[in-house]
Amino acid sequence: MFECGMFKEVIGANQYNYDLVGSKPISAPSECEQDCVDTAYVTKSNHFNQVLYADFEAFTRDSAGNSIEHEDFMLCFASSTGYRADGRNIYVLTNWLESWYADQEHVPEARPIEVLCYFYNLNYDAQFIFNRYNKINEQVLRTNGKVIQFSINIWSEPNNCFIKVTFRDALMFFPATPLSQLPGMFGEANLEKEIFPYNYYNAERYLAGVGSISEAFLDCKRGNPTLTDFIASIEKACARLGADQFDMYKYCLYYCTRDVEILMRCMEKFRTQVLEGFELDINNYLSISSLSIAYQKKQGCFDSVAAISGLTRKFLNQCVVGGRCMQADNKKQHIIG
Amino acid sequence: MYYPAGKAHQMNPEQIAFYNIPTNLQRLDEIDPTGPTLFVEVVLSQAKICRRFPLRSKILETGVRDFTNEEIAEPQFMSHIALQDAVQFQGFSYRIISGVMFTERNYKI
Repeated sequence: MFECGMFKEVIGANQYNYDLVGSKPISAPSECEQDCVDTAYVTKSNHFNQVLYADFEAFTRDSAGNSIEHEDFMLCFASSTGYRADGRNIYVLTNWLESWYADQEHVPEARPIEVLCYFYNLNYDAQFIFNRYNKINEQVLRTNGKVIQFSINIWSEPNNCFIKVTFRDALMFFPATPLSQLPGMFGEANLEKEIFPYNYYNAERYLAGVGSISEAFLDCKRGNPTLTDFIASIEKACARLGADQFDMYKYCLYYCTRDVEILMRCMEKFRTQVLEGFELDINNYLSISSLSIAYQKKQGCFDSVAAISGLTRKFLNQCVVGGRCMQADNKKQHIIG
Repeated sequence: MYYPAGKAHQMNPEQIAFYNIPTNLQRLDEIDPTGPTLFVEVVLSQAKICRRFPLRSKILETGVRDFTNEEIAEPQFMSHIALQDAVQFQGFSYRIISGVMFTERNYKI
C-alpha cells in the first residue's frame, strides 16, 4: 500500500512522531508555545444514573483436570440501590438493565441513560464480555496492556434511547491489592472473603450439581484454610447436602455474591471517604492516580502550569536523569573498620 | 520546590548570551525566587574538580547512565539548577547552545 502511494508521512512544524525523531538528541524547538496547553481544574459532575458492581466465576479446568481457556459460568452483580441478581453470562446484566429501564419508575430524565459497572480486575473479566458480546464501543482504554475501561450500548425500545454501560476496573484504585484485603482496609472485618476451590469446578461436575467436600478441599489453596473452615463456609451458604456432599451451584452463588458485596461495600465506603475528605467523586475518575492529580489541580498545585507535548516535551525529557544508583568512583568499595 | 509555570519559550540569543555569564546564572534564584526556569542544551568543558560522585553523566551504548569526571564531547541537557551545581561544585565552564524558558513559577505544591 505504501508503494501505491496510499500513505504519506506526516511531518510538519512540531508535528513529529517520536518514532520519526528517534532517540537522536534535539535542540530547543522554536514554537514551544504551541506545545503548551492549560491544565486548569474542571469540576466534574457525576453523570451515571446507576452504579453496579459485578464479578464472573469461570471454569479453569476440564474434567480431566487439565488447564483450559477460562469459561464463564456465573455472573453476579449488585446495584448501589440494593438490587442483586445472578445468571450465566453478560446477557443477564444487559437484559436486566433493559427491563429495569423499561419500568417507568426507574427512567431518568437525562439521555443517554448511563450506567457504571465496576469489576475487580476488569482485565480478567473483560474476556468473558468480549467473547460473548459483539457490540463493544470502539474506545477500549488500556494501561500497560491491561483493559481498564470500555463500554457497550444497549438499545432501550420503550425509552427510544441507548443505555450506555461503562465497565471500569476498581483495582485501579487499589493497585496490587487482592480483594481479600479490602475489608481490612475499610474496617469491614465481618466481610471476610470466602474459600473457593477454583480448580475443582468444571463443566461436568457443575452440571451434576453435587460435589465432594473432601475432594474440593484439596483445591482450596488460597490462604491455607482448614477443612473445618471450608465446611463452616459451606454451611453458611446453606449448601451442605450430606456428610461429604455440597451443592456446587449454591456454594458458588454464595461465594460470588459475597465477592460482589465486598467490592460494593468497600467501594461505597471509599467513595464516601473521598467525598468527605476531598469533595471528589471517585466515579468520575479512572484510577487513584487520576484522582490524585484532580485533587492537586483543585488545590491549585498546577495553577498556570502548562501540559506540554510534542517536540518541547521531548526536549525537556532530555533533561531528566532519573534516580542514581552508584558507588563512589563507580568501583567496588571494601571498607574495614 | 516549585513547578515551572506559564508557557514555554525558546531562549533568544540575548537571553542565551546573558546566562552564558556565570554570575548571571548563579544569581538566577538569588535575585528573584519568582524568576525564570531554564532548560538548556549546553556544552561543558573538562571538570576542574573531580568528584567521587560526579554530577555529569552520559548514556553508554549498553543503555546504562554513567556518571563520570571524564570529558563528554556531546552537548548535555539540564535545568539551570543542575547547571548551577555543575559550575559551583565541579568548576565546569559552559556554553549554552539553546534552551527553553518558563517565565513563571508555582510554589503551591
